[in-house]
Amino acid sequence: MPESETIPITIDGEKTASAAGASIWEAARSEGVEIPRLCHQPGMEPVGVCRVCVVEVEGARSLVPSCQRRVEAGMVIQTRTERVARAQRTLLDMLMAERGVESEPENCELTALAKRMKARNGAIAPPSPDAPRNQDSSSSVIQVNHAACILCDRCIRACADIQGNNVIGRGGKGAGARIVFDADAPMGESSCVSCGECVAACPTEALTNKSITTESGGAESRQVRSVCPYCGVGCGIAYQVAENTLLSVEGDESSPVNRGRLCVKGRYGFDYAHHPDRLTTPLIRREDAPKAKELPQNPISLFREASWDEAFDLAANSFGKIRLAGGPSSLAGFGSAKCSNEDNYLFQKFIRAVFGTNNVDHCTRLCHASSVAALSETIGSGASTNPFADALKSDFILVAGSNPTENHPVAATFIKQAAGAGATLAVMDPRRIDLVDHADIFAQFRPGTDAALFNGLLQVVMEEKLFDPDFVETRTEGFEALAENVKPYTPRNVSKLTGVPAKTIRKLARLYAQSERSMAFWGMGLSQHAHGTDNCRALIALCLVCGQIGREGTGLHPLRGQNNVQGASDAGLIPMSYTGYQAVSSPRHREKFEKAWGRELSGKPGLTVVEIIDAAWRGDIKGMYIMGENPAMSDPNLNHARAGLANLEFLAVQDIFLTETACFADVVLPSTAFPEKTGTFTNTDRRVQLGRRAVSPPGEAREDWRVVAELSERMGYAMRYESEARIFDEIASLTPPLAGISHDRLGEGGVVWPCPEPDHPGTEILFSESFPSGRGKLVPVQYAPAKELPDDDYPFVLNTGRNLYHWHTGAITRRAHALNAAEPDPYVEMSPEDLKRLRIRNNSRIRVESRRGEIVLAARASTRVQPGQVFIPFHYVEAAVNLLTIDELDPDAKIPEFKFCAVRIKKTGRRRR
Amino acid sequence: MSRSAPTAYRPPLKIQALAAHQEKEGYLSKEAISAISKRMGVPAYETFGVASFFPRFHLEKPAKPQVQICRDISCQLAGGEALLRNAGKIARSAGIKTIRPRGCSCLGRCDKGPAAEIEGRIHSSLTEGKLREIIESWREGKPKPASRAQKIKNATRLNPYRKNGAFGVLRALMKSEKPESVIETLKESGLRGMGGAGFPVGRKWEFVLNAPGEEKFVICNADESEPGTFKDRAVMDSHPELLIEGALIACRAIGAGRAIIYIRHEYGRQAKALERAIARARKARLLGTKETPRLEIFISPGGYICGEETALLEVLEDRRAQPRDKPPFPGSEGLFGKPTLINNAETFALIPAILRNGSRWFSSFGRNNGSGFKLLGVSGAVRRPGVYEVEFGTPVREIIEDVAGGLPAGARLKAFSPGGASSGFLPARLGDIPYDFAPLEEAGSMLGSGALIVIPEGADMAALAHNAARFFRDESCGKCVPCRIGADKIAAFLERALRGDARASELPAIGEICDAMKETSICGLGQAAPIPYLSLFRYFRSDIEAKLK
Repeated sequence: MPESETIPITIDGEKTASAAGASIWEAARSEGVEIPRLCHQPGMEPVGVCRVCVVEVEGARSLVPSCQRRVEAGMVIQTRTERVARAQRTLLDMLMAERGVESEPENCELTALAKRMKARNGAIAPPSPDAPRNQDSSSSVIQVNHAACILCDRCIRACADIQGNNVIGRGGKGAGARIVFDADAPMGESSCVSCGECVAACPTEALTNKSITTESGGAESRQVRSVCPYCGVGCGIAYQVAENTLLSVEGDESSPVNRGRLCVKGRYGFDYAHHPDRLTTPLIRREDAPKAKELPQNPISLFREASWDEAFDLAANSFGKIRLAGGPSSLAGFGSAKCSNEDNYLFQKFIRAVFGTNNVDHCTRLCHASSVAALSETIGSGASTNPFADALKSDFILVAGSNPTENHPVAATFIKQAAGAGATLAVMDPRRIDLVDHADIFAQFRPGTDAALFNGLLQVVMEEKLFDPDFVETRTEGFEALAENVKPYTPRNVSKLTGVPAKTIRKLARLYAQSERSMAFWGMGLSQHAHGTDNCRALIALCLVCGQIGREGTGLHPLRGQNNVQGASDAGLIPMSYTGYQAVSSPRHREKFEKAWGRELSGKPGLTVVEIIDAAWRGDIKGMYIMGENPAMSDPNLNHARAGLANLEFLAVQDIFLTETACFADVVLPSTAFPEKTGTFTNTDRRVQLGRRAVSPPGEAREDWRVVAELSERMGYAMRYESEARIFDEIASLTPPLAGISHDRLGEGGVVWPCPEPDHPGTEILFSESFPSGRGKLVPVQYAPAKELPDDDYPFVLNTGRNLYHWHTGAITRRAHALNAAEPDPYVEMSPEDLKRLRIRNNSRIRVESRRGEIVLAARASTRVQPGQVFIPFHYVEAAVNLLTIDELDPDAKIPEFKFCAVRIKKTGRRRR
Repeated sequence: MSRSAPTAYRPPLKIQALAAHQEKEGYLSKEAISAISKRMGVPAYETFGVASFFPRFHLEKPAKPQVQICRDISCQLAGGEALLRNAGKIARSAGIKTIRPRGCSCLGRCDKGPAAEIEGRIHSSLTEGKLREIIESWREGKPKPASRAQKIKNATRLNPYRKNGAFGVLRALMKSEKPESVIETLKESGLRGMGGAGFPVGRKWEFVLNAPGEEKFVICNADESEPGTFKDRAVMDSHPELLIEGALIACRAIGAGRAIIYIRHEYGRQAKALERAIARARKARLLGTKETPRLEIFISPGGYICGEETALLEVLEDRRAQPRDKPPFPGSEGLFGKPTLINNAETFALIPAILRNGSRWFSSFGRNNGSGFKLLGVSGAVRRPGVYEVEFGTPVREIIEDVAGGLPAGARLKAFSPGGASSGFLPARLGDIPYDFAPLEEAGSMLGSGALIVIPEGADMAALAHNAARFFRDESCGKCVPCRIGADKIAAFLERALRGDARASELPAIGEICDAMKETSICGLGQAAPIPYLSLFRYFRSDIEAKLK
């Protein structure tokens, strides 16, 4: 029946019309009648277990649950009769008697409703003490009080239907029924990923957040809306703050991005801001402190405290001297995808206008540089074409080389939800990641054979004529060459190379090509290779020939890593372009920025991250300014990178902690953590959102942009801004896609660029009509093996990445106690077969060696990796996996091959501590 | 519909896997549950949720032999409580110290109480001596066979066939161009469902026939578990082929391609009898051909609630037996969302006779405005307990005296339960009440599931009400608040009352709980659970008031 159809009903004597198919509860609500309820939650499937929402329906023998029953034409409904109220009161009475909690807790919907309905707590005998319902304190972040549980099933639906984590259910029967985790494990030992969605959904105090920072709070706390500081998903959050302490974080229900959902990092990982390791005063390196590539035992002993004046003067003088002696190209700077658009805009402006060089880059180089290069080359724009939540509108979802349940958990909830609702989900990955549990197709390919696999898919598409001829004809170029190129990549040949059955290759190609709406997500698995750009070119070619772009639920989405990796690049924090990807090599663009900034600018694209560190190692770059980045952990082949940092004549590091990189600094500038500053952050959907200051910084720490501006002043170039909003105005004035955006517009959920005019609503879906490059360019690629293949000496393939609980180099998450408690120690995932073969016991300490370095860490048996492969997360300084990785770069994007190098395993003979 | 057409039906794989594992290992450890989940690719909580719900599944390794003694009303009247109390001692004296005999819910042997299930074998008419012998027989490795069950005692009308005439109606219907025409006959006959709710059968069939949908299902509910009820068991012991024929007639009439007989696991022998009848039907090519529907027997993982029709559907869909809200009724959205006809075992067994003999034949039976006959299990204090064909409208006293032989010598009628535990208790002075739907409902009771329990003077009605309340507490699925908490509160109150530990001042609150249960519970279990308590206060006040403080 059409959605707009309405039917006549009567509610509480008022004749009205209701949407057909609505529940009585919904119909009443749209008439302004709020029927009390406990188990029902808008946005969740009704279950009708609490029965508190009962109403009288004329003709019905007993009362009717309004959340469950659909309206029927002519239905006469009474929501407030004495009969209804009596039943509701008794139900609440029973629940209050069962609850077994003496106090009247805050935020308890049951208590509040019982009070409002005047249920007489105490009339009914309490539960017998024979079957005590226990507490479960095993989770590091969530307290479970079974006695307070009313079995409303809200946590169950939150866990399964909203987050797709499928941990919580009902166990037992009747009066003995209770919520269980997995097969009745303690919560902390279950497969729970601590996203906290169950706590957010719980209407009583059965599931509560443990205090992370302090017990206090109460009436004096206030709420500050902001965005999450972790990944590129950019969830809307609300901080609960008392005085100057963050108490808790909740998901922002009104956010169009996460719709209230959060993951464990977003919800429980905020206390790093209050960690005692925070830098509170500028530090200057002691004269006698040595600089060597080895990390010092006691970093703080290398420094003495200094005043801001002294620190600024030292930095300004040192940079000035180096510039004078070696010219602008002897200087370089790294900004950070953790900093705001405003911070990063000023930073790159400083490097370009004051240092006079384009040697400015940031960690995008280490994550999606190849994706951006391929996207720019083929369709002319280096960002996602559709929001990730479009997965809900897709018929077919491809997730390639991306592990979203750990790296973009909230985006993953949408993908899982879509799969649960009937979309076909295909996962391409060398590892059997958790998302595979939700997938229809899993193509587990050999590491490094990505391009071959995509060419195989293209071959099937060509061979079986599954491409979209109209789209190919009108919107692309290079079809013939592409078709010719993929001819040898038959499913059979590709199957031999990749290990993926030919049948799977055909099925995947057919479903991707022929589904009405196909969406492709990818991540570091494709990009972090010496052939990363080729991998992405092949994926994009597949998308273009099939015409799977430019519509709802249909497009390309590289899931961006850092919370502002999109924005940092947008703000010009890359060596080849100013804001909005306006090339430094283009005289027109250069003149525009020279005019705006009042300085002569270099037209020569600068060096990229790994190149800069390499140049430092060679002595070509002598001075660096690093804001919020940690190359001493995040660069490949760390022994080389750290030697490069140690080789610098002068290094200024601006950060919130004394990071591994800061150990090499001559001056350390203390800056503000995310909750201490205001600024805009652009998420993976291109949505510009406002992060708001919730607490003030410790000691003398200053906001990043103020530090940059002051240093610039001291080096003779004035940067005077009244506020972050004025900096953004300057960005907008120079950047056409952002021209219509200002801080004032970002109050509710932000704006998605391109947004050329102040009254433009923003653009969620790109390229419906054409590409910025005109036609989409189909670029043929060849499969080439990885740079360092396993051999007899180094027989294993090392893959690196993240785990759910930690963030990148661990600087902040290892100082967030709930997160660090969840994964406190480094480990290497190995297949049980390999462990058995090498006679290594699970959890024993082993040595992993490459041609570049070695680390010692615990072996962890995992069926996620195939035999012959190992996986190590890069969060742990005590076993920094980048000591092993290879610094081979992609020729186009200069991204290192983090996902593939050869290692060997040695036993140490010691058990894990 | 043809056999090759795509079907929404999926076998309940989790339940099957759990049952298979338990068969092999004797119980289901958490590790086993996790492993089964992983193998099947389902979340562990789902598998555990199922495993921890059904009484057939054990989460801990039980000592052998497992002894479960029925503690419901009929067996209690026969001394089941004392047997259970002493069972541990008996086992020890039989030389087995490790086992812990447990109480269990009704086993369908109410005519020969007390009954017990020992390692899957049902034993009836137990005494302490017999129980000791059985346990000893297990110790010696030569376990005694299960007790035989009684057939229907006076079946004269149920079976319309002479020897070798089985399946005659169905055979004729196979050739009929308009198989749905039988629905008209059923409507005219006035036949009502025999599972408890008494919905007119012809109307239900018609509803499912007319429900939109290509695929339809027929389900025979042979999960009879109401304390005092054993008439479906007797139907299957006496005339399994009539039930099969009735279900296949239904498939033909409404256009269903698959029929499922849902039978409680304690009825292993009856399931075998059905299988033999199925084999006969197959031999007669009434099953197993392209044109005939699929028919299978599903053994319930246990629990009274599974007999609730929507809970039964949930089990068949591989979930916990938690009832659904109605509407939608199974007739429009039943198994896997498809129109589904669910009738009781007795109902299906009555179909061949009615169609063979005509609607008037059926409605010609009955007294005091009653129409038709049904099977009734009589248990408790009577000389000849068993299952009888009884015309609707027969005065209850007549059934007790004339059909079941009256109370034993020296015993006098105090009360009776006309329809199993959920019908509560009526006093002897209402003994002339006609056994029929309307009169019993007017008396605050119901005809229920065809279980007449006869209670002699001297019985403590408070104890019997507590017995019934405990049954509902134990058998509540726990899905909805009123039943989960309410059934527990009523049972706990009566338990305290029996101990002299309850106050009269609690009565108003309990009364409100009863009202809320009737008004807001999802299913019949919760709605009926207060009835025994309410009947206690309505008819046997003195039995309870003296016990309150």
